Amino acid sequence: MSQPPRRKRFLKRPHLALISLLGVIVPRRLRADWRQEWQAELRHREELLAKWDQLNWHTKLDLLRRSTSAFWDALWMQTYRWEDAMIQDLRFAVRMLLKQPGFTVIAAFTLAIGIGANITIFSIVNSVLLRRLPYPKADRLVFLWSESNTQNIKEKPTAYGNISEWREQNNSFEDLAFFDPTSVTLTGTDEPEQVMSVHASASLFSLLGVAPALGRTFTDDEEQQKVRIAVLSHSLWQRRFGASPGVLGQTLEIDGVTSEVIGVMPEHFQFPENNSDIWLPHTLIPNWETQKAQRGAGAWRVIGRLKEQVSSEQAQAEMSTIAQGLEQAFPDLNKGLGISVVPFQLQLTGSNVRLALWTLFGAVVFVLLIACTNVANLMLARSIAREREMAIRIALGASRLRLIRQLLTESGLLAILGAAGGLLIASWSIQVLLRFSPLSIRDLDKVAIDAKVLAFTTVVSLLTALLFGLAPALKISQAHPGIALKEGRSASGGVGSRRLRSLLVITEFSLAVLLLAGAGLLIRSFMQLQRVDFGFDPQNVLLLQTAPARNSPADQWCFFYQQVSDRIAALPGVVAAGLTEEIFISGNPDGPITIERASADSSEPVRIPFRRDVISGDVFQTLRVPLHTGRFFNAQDNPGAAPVSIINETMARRFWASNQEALGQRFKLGSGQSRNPWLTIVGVVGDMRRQSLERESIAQIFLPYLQIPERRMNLLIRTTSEPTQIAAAVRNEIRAIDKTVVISRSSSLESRLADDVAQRRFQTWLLTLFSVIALLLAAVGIYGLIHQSVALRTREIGTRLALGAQPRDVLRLIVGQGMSLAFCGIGVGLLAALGLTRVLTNLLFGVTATDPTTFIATPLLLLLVALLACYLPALRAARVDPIAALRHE
Amino acid sequence: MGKGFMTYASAVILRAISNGYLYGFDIIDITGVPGGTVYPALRRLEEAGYLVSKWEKQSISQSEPRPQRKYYELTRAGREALAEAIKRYRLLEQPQLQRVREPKTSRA
Repeated sequence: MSQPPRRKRFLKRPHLALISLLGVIVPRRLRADWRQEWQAELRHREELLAKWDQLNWHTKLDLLRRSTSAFWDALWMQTYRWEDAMIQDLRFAVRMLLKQPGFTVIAAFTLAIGIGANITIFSIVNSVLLRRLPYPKADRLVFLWSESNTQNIKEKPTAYGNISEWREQNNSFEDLAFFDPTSVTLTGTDEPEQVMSVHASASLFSLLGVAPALGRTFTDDEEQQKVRIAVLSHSLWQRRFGASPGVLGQTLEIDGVTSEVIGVMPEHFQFPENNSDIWLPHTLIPNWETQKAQRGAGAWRVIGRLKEQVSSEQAQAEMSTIAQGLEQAFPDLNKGLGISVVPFQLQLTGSNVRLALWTLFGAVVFVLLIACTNVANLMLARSIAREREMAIRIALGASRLRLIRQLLTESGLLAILGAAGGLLIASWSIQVLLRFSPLSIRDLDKVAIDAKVLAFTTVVSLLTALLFGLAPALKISQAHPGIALKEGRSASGGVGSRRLRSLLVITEFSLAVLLLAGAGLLIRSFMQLQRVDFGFDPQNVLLLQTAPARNSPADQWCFFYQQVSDRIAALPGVVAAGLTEEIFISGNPDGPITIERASADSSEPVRIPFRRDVISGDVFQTLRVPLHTGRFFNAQDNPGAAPVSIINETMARRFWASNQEALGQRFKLGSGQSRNPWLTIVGVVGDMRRQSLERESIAQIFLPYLQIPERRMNLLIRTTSEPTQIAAAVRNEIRAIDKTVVISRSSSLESRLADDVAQRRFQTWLLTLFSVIALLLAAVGIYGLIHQSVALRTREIGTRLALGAQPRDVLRLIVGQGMSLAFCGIGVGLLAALGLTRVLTNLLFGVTATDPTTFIATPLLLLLVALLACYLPALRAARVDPIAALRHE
Repeated sequence: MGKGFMTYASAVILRAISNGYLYGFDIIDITGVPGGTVYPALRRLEEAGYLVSKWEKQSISQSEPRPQRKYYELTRAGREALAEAIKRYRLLEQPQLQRVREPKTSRA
C-alpha cells in the first residue's frame, strides 16, 4: 500500500497519529495487526463521511474523540501480555528473589525503612502543609499585619483608623475584612460557659466565600446600628441548641446582654481557630467608640482577598507604599510602621513548623537515598555471583537491553516489596508519632494515608527501583561473555565493580554526615534549652482561669477574689496561692512607657516590648520567683494609696543602672501626657520566661489587684503533691462562693509548659532517629563491601601471609581500605553539611549552624562506626589460613 | 466468558455484526453502546469463538488504495448464541437493530 511521508500523514490525520501512539502499549506481538485494524476502521469511517480534507472541524474533532475508543481496546489487549517478555521477566524475577531469601529480605527491609520514613513524613507534610484550605480560591487569601521595622516586631494587629485607610487606598484587593478573636461568657443558664468569640467586620464571610449553613450573616447596616446579633458555630449550635433548626430568632445571653441568633456556620468553618464558636459584629466590641478613632497598631487582624491578576508580592509592594504614605500623614502613631502581606496557608502553619517539616522531609529523602545505595551495593555484590549467568545469556544471544530490562524488573519487584513494607511501617509509625506529637502544629491530628500519599508512595518506589537498579543493571550487562565464561568466576568482580561500590559507600557516608550533623545541631539546641531556667518553678502548680459574671460590679470582683485566695490557701495540701491576669504571654506586646526624670525634657516616652499584669495574693511565692529588692504587694496597696508596681529585672536594667536604683522611681504607661497614673516601683523581681523557654524575658510590670481590679484572672496554686489532685476541691470552693462564676479546665503548669518544648523535642527526636538509621545503613554498607572484598581476596591474602606478611599487616591493609572510603565520604559530607545546616539556623537555639562541637563529634562518631564495620571482616582476613587459602578454589 | 451466558451488550453487538455492521464505530452508532464496552466485547466474543476475524485480501486494499481491513464474522456458535440471546432479550428485535446494511465495498 502506498503511504505518504509519515510526519505529514500524522499532521493531516491526527486520529491516525493517535492510533500509532496508542499502539505502543499494545503487546508487541499484536501491535502491527492492531494498528492496521484500527487505521482501516477509521479510514472506513472517513469514507462514509466524505473526503477528509472537506470535513469541517466539528466532524474532525468527533472522529478524533471516537478514535480514543482505541485506548479501551488497547487496554483490553493487556491481558494478552501474559506470555509476553515482561511477564516472563516477572516470573523469573520472582524465582530469583525466592531463591535468595536472605538477600531479598534484607534488601526489601532496607527499602521498607527508607520508603516507610518517607511516607510517614510526607503524610505529615501533606496534611499540615499541602492540605487545601476549606475556602474557595484560598490561594488568593492573605493576612495583612502591621510590623514595626525599628523594633523588629512582626505581625502586629492594626488599629481601625489604619485599616480604613488601607481599604480606601489599595488597588490590590477585592476586599479587606478584619476581626479580633476574644472570648465571651454565655450566661443565662445554670452553668455559664466561656466560648471563643470573634468580633468581625461583615465582609469577613463573603471574603472567605463561606455561606452560613442556616440563616444569614450580619450586614454593614446592622454593624453601624450596633444591632445585637450573633452567628454561631456548628458545634455551639449543637451544644447549646441541640442542633435545632428553630434556633434562628432565638436569643442568647452574651456577657449578660441578650443577643439574637441570626445564623449558623457550616461544620467545617473554623475561623480563625478551630474552637471559634461565635461571630459578632465588630462594633459590639466593648470600647468600639474609642477604638474607632485609633491609628497605628491596634487590636484588629486583617485578612484580604487578592484580585485575580495581583500576586501577593505586588500587593506587598503596594501596601508598603501605602504604609509610607501613612507614616508621613500621621507620623506620631505610624512611625516606623510597615505592612506585611502573608499568604493564608503560610500564616496558618507558621514558618518554623514549615521549616521543621521540610527539614525532616529532606532528612528522610537522604535516608531513602542511603537505603537505595545500600541495596544497589547488595545487588552489585550479587551481580558478581551472577556474572556467569549473564555471560551465558549474552552468549546465547540476549541483547544488552534485554538484560537490563530483566534486571530492572527484579529491582522493580524489590521496590514493590519495599513499598508494601514501607506502607506497613508508615501506618504504624504515624500512630506512634501522633501520640507523641506536639499539639501546637495545626492539622497534625488529620494526618492519614490518603490517595495523595499513595500516589507519592508509587512515585517514590518507582524512582527508588530506578535508583538502586540502574547502576547494577548497566554494570552487569557489560559483562564480557568470553572472559566471564573462561575464568569461571570473578572477572570484573575486581576493579570496575569495586570502584562503583566504593563510590556508593562514599556517597552513603557523606549523606550520613549530613544527617548526623543536622541531628547533632538539634540535639545540642535541645540540650542548651534544657539548661535554660524558666525563672520560676513550674513543678506542683495548678493553673485555672475564673471570671465572675461580666455584669457584676468591680468591687464585688475584689471581694470574690479575696475570698477565693483565702479559702484556697486554707485547703489542705496547698502551700501558696496567687492570682494573675495572664501567666503566658502571647503575641508581641509592646507600647510606650514614660519614666519620670529629674529634667522634664528627658521624660520622653520610650516604646519597648513589655507586658503588664494585675496580680493578687502570693503569686511570686507560688511561682518561687526571687524578689531582688524592695517588697511584694500587701493590703495597704489599696485604691486609697499611691499607685504602685513591681517590675522585673529586664525592665530595671533597661532604664536604671541597678535594681536598687529603680526602687522608688516612678513611671507611667503611655506618653507623659496620658491620664494614666504615675506608678511607684516598690519591688524588683526576677525575670520569667513567659513567652517561651526559647525567648528572653521582656519587660514585665505587675500591678496590685486592689488598685486595678480585673474580671478574669488566672489562679495559681502551689501544692505539696500532684497538683491536679486538688482540682476538684478548688472548683468546689469557688462554686461555693459564687455559682455564676466561669471556671476553665484546670491543668498543671508543668503540662502547659511541656507543650512549649514538645515541638522541639518532636523534631529533634525524629531527626535523631533518622540519622541513626542512616548511620546503621552506612555501617552495614561499608561492612558488606569490606566483607565481600575479603572473600574475593582470600587467595591474595593467603599468598601475602605465605610470603611472610603478619596478620597485623593484613588487618591494616583491609581496615585501611575501608577507612580511606570512610574518610573520603566524611570529608565530602562535612563540606556539604557546612553549607546545608545553615538552612536550620532558625530552628537552632544557643548554638550556631557551624557549632564546632557538632562538627567534631559527628565525623568522630562516623569514623568509629566505620572502624568497627571494617574491623570485623579484617579480623577474619587476618585469621586466614594461608594453606587453605592457596588451595581455595 | 462462559458459553452459556451472554450480556445484553454482547448480544447487541453480535446482532449488529450479523446485520452487516462490521466496524466498531458502526456498531457504536447503531447500538448506542459506548466504545469502552464495544471493543473489549469484540475481543471477548472472538476469544469465546462467537466471532472470527479475517483480513481482506491485499489485492483489494491495494487497488483502493487503503489499509488492509479486518472483518468480523459470526461463527456457527455465534449464530446459535445470538438466536438464544434473542429469545431472552426481546429488545434485540427493535427496528433499528433489524436494519440490515449493504456492505459499501466488496467483501473478502
